[in-house]
Amino acid sequence: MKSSFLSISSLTKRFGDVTVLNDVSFELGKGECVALVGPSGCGKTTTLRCIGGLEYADSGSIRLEGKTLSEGPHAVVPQDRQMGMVFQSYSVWPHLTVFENVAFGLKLRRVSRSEIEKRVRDCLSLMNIGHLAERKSFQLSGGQLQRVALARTLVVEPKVVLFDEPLSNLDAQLRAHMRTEIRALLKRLNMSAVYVTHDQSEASVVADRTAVMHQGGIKQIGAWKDLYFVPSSRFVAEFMGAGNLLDGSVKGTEGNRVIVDVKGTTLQIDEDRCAFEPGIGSAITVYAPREAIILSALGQSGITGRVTQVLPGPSIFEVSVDTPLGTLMSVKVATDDIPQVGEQCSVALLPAHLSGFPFEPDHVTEAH
Amino acid sequence: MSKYLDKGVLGAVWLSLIVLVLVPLVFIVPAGLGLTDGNFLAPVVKFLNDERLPAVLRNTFLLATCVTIVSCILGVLFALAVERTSMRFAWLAHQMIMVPILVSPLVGAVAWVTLARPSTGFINVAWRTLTGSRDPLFSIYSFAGIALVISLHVAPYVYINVRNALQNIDGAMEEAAAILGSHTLTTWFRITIPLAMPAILSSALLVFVLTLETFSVVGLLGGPAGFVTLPFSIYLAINLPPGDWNYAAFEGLLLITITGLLMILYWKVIGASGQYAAIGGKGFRLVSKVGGKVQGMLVVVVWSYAVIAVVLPVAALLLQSFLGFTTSRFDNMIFTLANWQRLLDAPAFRLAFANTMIVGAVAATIAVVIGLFVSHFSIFERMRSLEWLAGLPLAYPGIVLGMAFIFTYNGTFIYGTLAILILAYVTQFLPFTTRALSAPVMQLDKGMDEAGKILGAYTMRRVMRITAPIVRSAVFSAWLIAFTRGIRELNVSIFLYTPATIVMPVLIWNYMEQGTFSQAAALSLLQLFAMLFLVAIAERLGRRFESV
Repeated sequence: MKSSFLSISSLTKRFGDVTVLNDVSFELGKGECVALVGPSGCGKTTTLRCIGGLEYADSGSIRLEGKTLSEGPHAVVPQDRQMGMVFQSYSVWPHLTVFENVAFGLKLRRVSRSEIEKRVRDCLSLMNIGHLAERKSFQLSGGQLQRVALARTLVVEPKVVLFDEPLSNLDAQLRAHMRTEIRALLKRLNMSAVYVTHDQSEASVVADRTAVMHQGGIKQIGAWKDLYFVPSSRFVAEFMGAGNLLDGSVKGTEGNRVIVDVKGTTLQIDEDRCAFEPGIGSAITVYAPREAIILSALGQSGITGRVTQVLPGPSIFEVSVDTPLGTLMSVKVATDDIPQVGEQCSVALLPAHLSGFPFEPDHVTEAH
Repeated sequence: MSKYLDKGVLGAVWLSLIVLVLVPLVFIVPAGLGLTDGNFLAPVVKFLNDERLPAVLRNTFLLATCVTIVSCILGVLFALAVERTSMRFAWLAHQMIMVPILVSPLVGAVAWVTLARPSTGFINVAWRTLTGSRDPLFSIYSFAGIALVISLHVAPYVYINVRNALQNIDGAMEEAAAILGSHTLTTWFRITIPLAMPAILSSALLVFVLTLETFSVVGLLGGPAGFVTLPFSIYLAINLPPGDWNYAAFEGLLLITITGLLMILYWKVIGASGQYAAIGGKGFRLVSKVGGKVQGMLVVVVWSYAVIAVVLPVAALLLQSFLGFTTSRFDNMIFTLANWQRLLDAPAFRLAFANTMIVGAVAATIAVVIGLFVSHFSIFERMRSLEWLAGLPLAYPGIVLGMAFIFTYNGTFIYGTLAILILAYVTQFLPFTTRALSAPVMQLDKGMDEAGKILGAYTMRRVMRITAPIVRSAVFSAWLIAFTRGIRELNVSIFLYTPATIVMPVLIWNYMEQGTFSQAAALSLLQLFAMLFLVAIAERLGRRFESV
């Protein structure tokens, strides 16, 4: 992890009886982008707004380069925080031209007129909207508005850029394009950013690390790959996407392997990939990502299963098989041999990709 | 540094609201309870022992009740005619129904004096000429006359609210009844009117309060009839020598308590029915329109109203303003421009005109600025109490507010200047400018303001450079709404004016008191034309801003 640039610790906020933020802490390195993801109401936007100073936390602190922005009820006003924010609804001012929108923050900073002219023009061409400078917002498309909002934020060179679901109002294709562009831009400018989204695939592209939030707290934070392959809770596993969750009990350990019994079948998990200290007999949920389920012709080693469903996709096919462990989902690349529904096959679970976390009874999922 | 300026702006808004809205009220309480001259509760005792008391209270509530019933029936019929029949020229009918709202009740009363005073009113002259009778057909100086003039004036308020409700009713509800075999009238009574009942009830409350507060009509017409209501009694207590100010203050307290409680009820009703929430999203308007006998009857009602409330009064004012001398016969009427000439040449008129423009424009500007900041703080910073405070003067009868300003500023340097009129006008305008501005600000994306905040802009700059320019059409229309109210303002001015600070409505009032009806008629017409002109501008501007 990079050295701490922005440091958020133990943020807590209540609206009446409802706790919207519960002990939220994380660090952001210089030039790093952390995404906050989670279902609506999980507190991700409130966290972002607290960092920007648009909301004040009840307790906890926010520090930027060692300078305190907020400590308990004492907070620096947003005007003095040197943050930038890109809003979900763009919020490009309709009475000003694109140029005037972008120049607004520079004028506030008493930048000379010629300097404003130069910096705005540079920023607009960086965003590929140099030709739109004299337009007003009603003459722009959603993607163009988003670029204006981004230019308006970046031109004043904020210390941290806060993104509040910036792409959720764009259509799917543009969204896919913009997220790679935002990523490239942040890296090019070495800009630190906190990026709120409800779309974990957007987070995977834009952010260096992702924090999954649930009920006002951070459930897990890490690189997207870690969250996807080694989730530390059922919530994170379900939120990050399709995978197989197998409830079982711990039989014992063998070296650095944990032996788990799932419906009479024995599985082995790397001890490092277990989110808790597994005592013998403790209830465990084994997480097997779809990529860890290998289907091969009958007669190979592993358990036997029967294909029940094949869902074709653009590049990968999702295959469901009935096995003694229950229905497992696997993926096949489109160029592989795709098994037919009803076909019998051998099913292997790659031990290196299995992970485990404590079994949570009666878990009510709020994801999706 | 700017951080402190920010606190200063908020403090200034709070301070101005407290000074304008709360302080005047505080000053009438001790006077009304007799604390100022040591005769504790003397005004109360005098009030309770006043032999006119039962009559005054009975008049006040009887008038309000009658007007409410009549105007509600009229308003509902108009709304049904315009929204639920296929009558021709519905748009023109709508415009005609709206005219009386533009005209002040004072001008309506002036017009009806020229139409129906017993001796020389045009209607009575015509009646005597046609029938040879020696008695007048109808005297405007009567309970019926007063109730008629006020009802004609307030019926449009009911109409607007009910029409709005009818537009928001899903037409399918009525069609469902029709398909089940229900007749038009049955559908209206069983479905349409019950659905519009929240709007009807809230309008009834509003009209009731407006009538309770009415001073000008009762003051002009009630004097000769010996008909006194609470607001008129306040005016008399102050203006009839020797004058009993504390007594007036107590009556004022009583009146404002009644109207205050009723307005709280009114706000509860419109809050509960969500009437405002429905505005804007009109859904689909699949409404089967009716024709036939029902339509015929409604059309007669609507056009009769247009004639009685608009055509006849305007014609009478025109006739009176050109009449050489007042006469009880048609055959010796002489028409002349002399009245207009005398009016336009009169120094008092020029003074009143200039004062009206200055006071109206300055007060409208201040009220718009305060309204803008109140909307900003109340919506973007969630300080709803500011908006509530700014709306409070809606519950103040004008006559009580005027009196309260005397109590507050008597003996200070602004007393007797235009400044005190301006302050009083601003107080009266605040609810209207705040409402007109908070609605569009509420619809603004909050990010518009927050983006400015994050970029480093403090309140002053965000309001002046972001919020105000974005809602500029609402700023203009709020200003015009306030200014047009200023042109008609009588209730407060009647107490606060001096010969040097006279305004046009007071001049009309004075002309009527002196019996110079022709000049009063000419001046009333001027007010009417000014209103029509300003409303036309407002609509133009509105349309232009919508298209940009």
